[in-house]
Amino acid sequence: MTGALLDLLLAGAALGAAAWSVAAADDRRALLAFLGYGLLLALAWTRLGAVDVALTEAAIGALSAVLLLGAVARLPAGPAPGAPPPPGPVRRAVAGILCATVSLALMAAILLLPSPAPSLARPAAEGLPALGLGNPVTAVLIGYRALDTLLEKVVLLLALVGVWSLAPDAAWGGRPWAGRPWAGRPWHGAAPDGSLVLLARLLPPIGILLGIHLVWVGAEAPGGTFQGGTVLAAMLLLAAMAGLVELPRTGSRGLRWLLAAGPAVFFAVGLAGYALAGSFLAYPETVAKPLILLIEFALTPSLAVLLALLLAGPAEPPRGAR
Amino acid sequence: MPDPATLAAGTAGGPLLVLALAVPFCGVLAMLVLGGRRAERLAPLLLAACLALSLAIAGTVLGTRAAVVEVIGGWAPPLGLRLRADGLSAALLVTTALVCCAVAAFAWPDLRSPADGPERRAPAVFWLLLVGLWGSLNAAFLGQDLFNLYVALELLTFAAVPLVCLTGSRETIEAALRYLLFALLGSVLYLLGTALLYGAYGTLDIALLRMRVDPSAASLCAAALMTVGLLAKAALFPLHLWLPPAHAGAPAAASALLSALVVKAPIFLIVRLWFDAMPMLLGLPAAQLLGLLGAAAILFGSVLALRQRRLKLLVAYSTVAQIGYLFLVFPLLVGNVQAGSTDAWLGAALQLLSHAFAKAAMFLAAGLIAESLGHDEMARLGPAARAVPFTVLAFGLSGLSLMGLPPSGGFAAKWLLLLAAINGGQWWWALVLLAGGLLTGGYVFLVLSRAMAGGAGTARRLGPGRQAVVLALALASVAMGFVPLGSLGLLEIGRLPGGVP
Amino acid sequence: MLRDTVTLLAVSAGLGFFLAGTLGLIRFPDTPTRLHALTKADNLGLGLVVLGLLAQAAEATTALKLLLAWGLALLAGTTGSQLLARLARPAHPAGAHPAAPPAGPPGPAA
Repeated sequence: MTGALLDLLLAGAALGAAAWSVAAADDRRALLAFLGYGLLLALAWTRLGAVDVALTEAAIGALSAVLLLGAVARLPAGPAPGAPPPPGPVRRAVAGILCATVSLALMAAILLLPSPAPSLARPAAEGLPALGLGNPVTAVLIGYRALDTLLEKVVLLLALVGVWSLAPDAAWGGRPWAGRPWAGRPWHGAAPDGSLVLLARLLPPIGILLGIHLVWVGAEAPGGTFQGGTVLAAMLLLAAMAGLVELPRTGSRGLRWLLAAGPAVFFAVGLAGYALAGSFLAYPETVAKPLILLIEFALTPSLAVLLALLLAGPAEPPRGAR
Repeated sequence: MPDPATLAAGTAGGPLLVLALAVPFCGVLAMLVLGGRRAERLAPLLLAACLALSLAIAGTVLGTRAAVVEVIGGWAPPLGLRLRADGLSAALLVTTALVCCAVAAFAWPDLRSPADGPERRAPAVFWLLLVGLWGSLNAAFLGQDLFNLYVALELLTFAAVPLVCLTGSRETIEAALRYLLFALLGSVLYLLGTALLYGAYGTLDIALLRMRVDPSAASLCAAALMTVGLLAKAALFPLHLWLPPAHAGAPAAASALLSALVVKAPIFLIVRLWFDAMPMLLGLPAAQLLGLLGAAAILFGSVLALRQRRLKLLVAYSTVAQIGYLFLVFPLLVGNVQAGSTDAWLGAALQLLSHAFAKAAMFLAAGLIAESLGHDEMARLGPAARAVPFTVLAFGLSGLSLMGLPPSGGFAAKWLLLLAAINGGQWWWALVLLAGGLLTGGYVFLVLSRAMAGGAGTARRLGPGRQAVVLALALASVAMGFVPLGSLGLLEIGRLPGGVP
Repeated sequence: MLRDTVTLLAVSAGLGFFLAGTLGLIRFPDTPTRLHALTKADNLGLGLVVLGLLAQAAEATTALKLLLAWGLALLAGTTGSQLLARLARPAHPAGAHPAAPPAGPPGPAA
């Protein structure tokens, strides 16, 4: 009874935040409503029992908050010159009707789904002992559907190359954030002995520990590479924002080795699977868990740096060189 | 009906499929680390290796006259994944390989970092994304699991979008952003459909879905959502708005890749969905709707192409029109169950393949003409024929294939589609095909006549190397008419029985 | 029994502080006063809720994790409110921080 009430409140709040985000008067308000919506969704995932997804939602929500807030801060407050006029009432009505139709069809389809729903939970649980894992989500990610995870890491790399390609020709290979007025110092002129720098000194040790713990515990309990890597990326970004750490040069060989190492280890273990267990990305039972942990711990630093660089953006020409 | 034992078994040559994914993506990693000129020198090696792999896979398919299957990780579907190469996949793999090699040969002379200097942005990004794009296309053509195909679509999007804004100008960045938004919308709709199908049937493997799917609210909704999502990625009318600025704004080599190959992958996936995963679930009315949109694309795209003032935009609108031909296969196949539909299937496959060669040749030719003249305005194309004669010849040959004049591959494709239309009693599609051919002829002759008009204007003569590549591609699209695909039966290998014959 | 009573009392008290903080956020006139109201929610509100949940914790590690969560929320809240207050403060040369910037980027929408 209380559970249903809580779910109803949560769903109502999430829908309300989404509606507010769509109907907000300006970009900043819409963005803040959207960030609230993300956090409410993370709670909703927890209520559905999908704690791994809730962790990912919260972590990615935090990172995308940095990205979106930074972008909104650089947009002009009003409409841009030369931008097309906002859509009129007819177009809005058509869009509204289309969205409503799709939503109603989706609702009907979901409510009419067979119940109990056919699911692969039991076969997934039965395969866990062969992999030496306790968390079925990790088993799916790095065991049964490892190819999808591997290819998604390549997607992230390609996206990073795409973001880097937006750098000016002269700045190719340089550092992100190098052209900001506060390059090398705390963001936006925060005091070097102020609260931002204090936070950046206190939080990263805890955050790094937490990130590694999330990766390690992901084998048995909710957690995993992506969640841990996101926390580590956030710590790197915090330290960079406080001016304590400089983001690496995008052209540096060491950085590129670090980025490529994770997927490379994944591919190597996969191809070694032909020799060890007869198929690509197959794990022989005796060494399954060590191999999986090897893959996860190789992927985590690559992922952390990749996500941080993805948020940092393309290289910029250094301040004096403009 | 596949039983669990069949699903768990791979076939000989299965590891080739894995290599077709591993080689390009490991190559991307290596190129990222090596950087600079060394990475660019690695690219041709990777392309050669991929060409050899594609030919090997096609050879195995032809040799064993069965699809090549590989089960990943020893986990059989529904828990695990499979990769599968049937006849159509093999043909597309070989076409992708040939077009990518040609584009690489075209871009090799001038899109390079300096020998003794640091890495430059445009070459580094181009070569890395070229290899990544190739791997993504392989993943799209070989996947047999709906979520694996979603990952392949994401790979394609993120490999293709930065190529659009490679020059870095403001218009190209706008075009790339619009492309990205359409592509992401398509991906979201596709993923929604996938989630619905999993919720309803408990599996995402195409062969298993084929056994389990039935017309329920969930499956119909999912099929509709996924089709619309893939249509947005394939730029079918009326979701084609992103294509002309994106393909016209990219550098010539990138445009060739985008129009010839990247747009084909979502169409291939729609075919997989409609005929393999959920055979004829959406029925004849939906097929007729797709055909109607295809007809609208043909007419609308060709008329707009006639009105363009820039050559590259004309070629981009021509892509919009030619994609419409591919969607005519749906009403022709679904409506032809009784009359036998090998004609429509073969025609559509030939159209896919010959259009890839022809459009790649056309975009590269347009790029060379623009480079020679310094601009690509239709009104001032006069000196082109004297400056770059082979290029204009190549343009004409590829136009021949697009028009559907014998003896080109395009003619064979459209002839088969005409036959299918008339034999199946859907004669109205025949009218659309003829009208499309006439309009295509219109804009091809427009370009050729302007290019051969001569007259004042400065034009640089370009070397024979790149012109030879373009001419080879155009000749390939003409030669497709001679390849006996029908008698080889390549395209029939591995077609799943029990659905559309 | 005792545990449940403690939890109920503490969490209700914490909710009371949350309510006060939210009321202040909505009703106070400008950013510094609103930040002041929010600190009530962060410090005492969350603290009392955590105190109440401590009574329900089955093992010591869970209790420590709850305290850690409160500590981290305090840290983040402190830093955030300091930075926001700096941005929202009107330019005041007499009391300005020696390293304060002359003007910052556009502040958050009020």
